[in-house]
Amino acid sequence: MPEYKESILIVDDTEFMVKVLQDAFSGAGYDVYSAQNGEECLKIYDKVLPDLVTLDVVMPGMDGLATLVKLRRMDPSCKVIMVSAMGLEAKVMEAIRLGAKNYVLKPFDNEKVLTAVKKVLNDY
Amino acid sequence: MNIASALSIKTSGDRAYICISERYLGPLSELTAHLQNKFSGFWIDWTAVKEAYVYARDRFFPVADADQAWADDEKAKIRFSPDGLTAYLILYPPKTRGERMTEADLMNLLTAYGLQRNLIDLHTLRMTYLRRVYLEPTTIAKGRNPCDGEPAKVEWKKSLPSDADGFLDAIMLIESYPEEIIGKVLRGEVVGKLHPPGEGIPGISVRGEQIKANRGAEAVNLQEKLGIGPDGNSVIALSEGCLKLAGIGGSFARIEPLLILRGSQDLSIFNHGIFPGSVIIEGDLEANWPIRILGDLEVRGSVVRSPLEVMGSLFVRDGIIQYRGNPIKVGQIASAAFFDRAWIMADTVHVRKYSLKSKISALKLIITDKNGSMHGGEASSCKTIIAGSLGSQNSMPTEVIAAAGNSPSLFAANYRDWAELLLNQSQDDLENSAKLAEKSVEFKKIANAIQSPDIFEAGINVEKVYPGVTIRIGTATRKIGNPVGPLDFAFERIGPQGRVALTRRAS
Repeated sequence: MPEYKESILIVDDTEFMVKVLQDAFSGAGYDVYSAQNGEECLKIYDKVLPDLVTLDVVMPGMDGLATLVKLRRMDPSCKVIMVSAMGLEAKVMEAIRLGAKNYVLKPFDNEKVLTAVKKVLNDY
Repeated sequence: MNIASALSIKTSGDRAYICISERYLGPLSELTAHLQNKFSGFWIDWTAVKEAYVYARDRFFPVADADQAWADDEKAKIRFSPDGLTAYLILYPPKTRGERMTEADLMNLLTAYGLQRNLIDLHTLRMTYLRRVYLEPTTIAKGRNPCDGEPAKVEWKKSLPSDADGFLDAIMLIESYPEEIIGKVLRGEVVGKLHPPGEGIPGISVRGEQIKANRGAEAVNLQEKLGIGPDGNSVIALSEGCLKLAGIGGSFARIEPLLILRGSQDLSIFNHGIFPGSVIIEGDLEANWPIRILGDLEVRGSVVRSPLEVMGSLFVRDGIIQYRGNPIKVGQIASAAFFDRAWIMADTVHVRKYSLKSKISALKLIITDKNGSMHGGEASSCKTIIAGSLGSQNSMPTEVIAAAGNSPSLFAANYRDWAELLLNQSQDDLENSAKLAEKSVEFKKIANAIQSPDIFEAGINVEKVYPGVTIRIGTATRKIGNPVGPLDFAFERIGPQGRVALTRRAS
């Protein structure tokens, strides 16, 4: 087993969702950070430079799409997975067009999220 | 430092490189914004920019190419372990019509990440490159761990350690039994030379950065009445007495009160309770009443019919001849050339030549010198017996016992008795009160820590066993009918009482 860990930033305004993803990612051996909104996400991203971001589509204030645009401007190489409730497929497609690498729909199971994360991280 | 002065750009053919100063503390977003306008006509690999920013400061790192098709080419990243001692290569496959990296490209990339060429495992690198193992981190470079310095030590001028392990280790290194074990020292006398701790050898990370080694520990424990001389590397005695060493290599030392007597002298000094130091008897010792000594006793002759309780160690140059009165009790090691009808209880018993019809009990170990023998009587250890020979050619009945009987409780009772005696004496002997009380607590702890022996850990190792010897380990017994050896005896759980298993060793 290599001795380095990849890191993930979870961006979601729902504490419960952050906890679920945190447990899933920590259990799989990732270092995990979290942010509750878009502004906090940008601050943490610039400081930590995580390998991947999971970004909730619907958030108060700066929503997921606006946050994605700013992230891509800060770091065009950033890897983002959108997390969305069902029924928001149009927003998710717009996010993919803006540069998100993948998406997961809620409710999801941990296996699906981890598979999506691994796929995105394996992409240079 | 601003980004403009922190950043250098160069091109080589179609490839563009950036070098970011280590002193640049600005965020990646500032670098990204700055680079947006710098590479017109080039396709920028933003992942490579991030790699350069995080991992490759002060080095030129390839980040752009005139040909956009470079984006689809095979790629690689290096990742490092948190301690910087390991580097991992991760290869990414080319996309659609992307081209493979050349070996030269790969080596240049490794150099751009700062890997030291002499630390790269070139064979593994080559194999990974040729086999194209994608997305699997492969260790391709290892640094060198720092080597901490040697701890400080003292080269003692005289005295052997007097604890069981230290003494037996020291004895193995010398050819003949020393004339003196306990050495008298005078006030101000140089008793040792201090070797300071080593600085250690620094390690090196895979990027050639030095990793500091820890200086060796100041492991020498100079306790009572020892100090460092004015030259800074002599150890001197601050008062007269004897130098008491303990631990492997004498890592623990102090000066203790020492009494030197001739065997024929008046021994009434021992009528006043426990002597709070060590004693040397020049010649034989024959005492008519119990002698109790807190430290060590060295008899440069023989011990004849003397009831002794030595809470440290007992060293007898010649023999212990007893005719089975009360047992001699020793807290640490009892070492004598021979034991003749002696009855002795000690943590460790060292028989240099022979024991004859003696009753020897040890809490941990009975050991003879290589040609030492034990014949007649009983040798009982809670754990291990190592002997040259057991029994005799004329089949003298000899009991050899490991991990059986009620020895542990007898030893525990002995330590508890000493603890009580010391506590009582500490209340009357104001000068030595603290030392006696401390020792009392120590013996109580030792007594409480004594457990029933583990029959599976017990063993008897011997070069030769003669008929007439009965071996007992736990509940199992084996009588020896023929001379045999060298071999080891151990307990085997077979049958209701178990069995003494016998394993022969090559001669």
